[in-house]
Amino acid sequence: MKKGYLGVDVGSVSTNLVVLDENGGLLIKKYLRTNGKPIQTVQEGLYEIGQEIGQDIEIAGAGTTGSARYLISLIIGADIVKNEITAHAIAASSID
Amino acid sequence: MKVSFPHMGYSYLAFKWMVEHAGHECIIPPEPSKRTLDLGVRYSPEFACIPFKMLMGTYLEVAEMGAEMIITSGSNGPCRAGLYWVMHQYLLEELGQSVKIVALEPPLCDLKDFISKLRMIRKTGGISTKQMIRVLQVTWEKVKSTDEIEKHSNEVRPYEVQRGDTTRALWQALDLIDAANSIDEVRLAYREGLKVLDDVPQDSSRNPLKVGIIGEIYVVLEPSANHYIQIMLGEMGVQTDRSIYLSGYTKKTTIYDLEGDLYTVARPYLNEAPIGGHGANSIAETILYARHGFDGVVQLAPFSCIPEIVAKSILPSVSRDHDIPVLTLFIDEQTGKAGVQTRLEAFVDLMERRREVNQTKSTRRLVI
Repeated sequence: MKKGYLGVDVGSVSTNLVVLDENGGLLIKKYLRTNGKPIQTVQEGLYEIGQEIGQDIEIAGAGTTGSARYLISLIIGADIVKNEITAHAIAASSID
Repeated sequence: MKVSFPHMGYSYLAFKWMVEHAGHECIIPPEPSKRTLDLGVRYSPEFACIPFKMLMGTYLEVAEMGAEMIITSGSNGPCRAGLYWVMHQYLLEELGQSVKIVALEPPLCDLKDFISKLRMIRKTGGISTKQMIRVLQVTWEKVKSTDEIEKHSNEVRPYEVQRGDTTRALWQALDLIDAANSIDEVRLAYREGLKVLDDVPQDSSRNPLKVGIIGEIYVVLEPSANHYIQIMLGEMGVQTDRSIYLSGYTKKTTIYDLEGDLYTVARPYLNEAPIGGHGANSIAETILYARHGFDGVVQLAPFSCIPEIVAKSILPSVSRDHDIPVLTLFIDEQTGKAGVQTRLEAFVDLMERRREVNQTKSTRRLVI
């Protein structure tokens, strides 16, 4: 079982989901419109990712960001919840 | 007479006592709410700063509740705010409200006017001069005590085990001070209040970040104007210290002992005469907080506040030279709590990371 790491950014307009592999490489990304329904949108996004990514990926960690970060962290059982400013800064500083 | 005054943090407890013991009926100004702000915004000039609008809203609300007289402060400084009461009076008259605003000018500027207004308040209340002096003494004691209790609550809050305990204890302590009727009773209530706060279950193993709050006096002092920033930060585990208290008095923080030298501290950045408002204070206090080892500073200012805009443009140099992060928040009627919370979370993350990096740097040096 390969390990994957899930990141979910739920904003008022758009919802973004990504899964990274153990080396930080991108396995899959999804962009959806929140349409005022953050929970439903995340559920749809996770379902689509599940269909496309194959059965041999196990999500070892999950993080949420965006304005609905606390709500979605409860829905998906996130390990870390950080605001989008920090998330952006950490991501930018880890690009080689 | 039915008397009211502006709502400035918890000072209303002291002023309520003063008004009642001067022989008047007190209309306690309600804590500014969304309705207060909406009322104020509707009847204020568009680019008036938020203190103007919030006070306008408060005055309209107390006028609705039957207030006949509003006591406030005037002065020709620190900025145009000293003249707001004149505009407020005009607006109230235009709106058909009969409430009169009585502005107490600083005694040093116009002693005769100050004394005559106090005499008018005393006479219409029907008490003697001797009684009035005693009333003012007790009021001052209450103002000092509420400030100190609030300060202590901000020191306790980052350590609280259960969220909200400190704020509940703070209200208990304030109720004790509210019930006091003499200087001795106030001092006793203050000591008991400190105990109530210290009894809040705390986790002393935490190492909270320390943040200084600076900026324009009203948005720093009035929690509803700054979205309860000190409580928000306290519940994020950050200890906050405010440089402005209504009493201008504190025993512990050395920052206050240097009050008179604030312009000297700010001089390297502000060669000219004071820029008005709390601009020079904002710069000097940032430097002092850096010297006292604080992890960061949050500058609060109303949108369109010129002294703070000038200070804001100077603060990046101060921040770089004294190695202290500064976050500026401009507040107007459209500022949303979620936006403030998000920026504060990011600022706290930044300060935590900075502290981690600095600690690793120093431990590395020690190992060698």
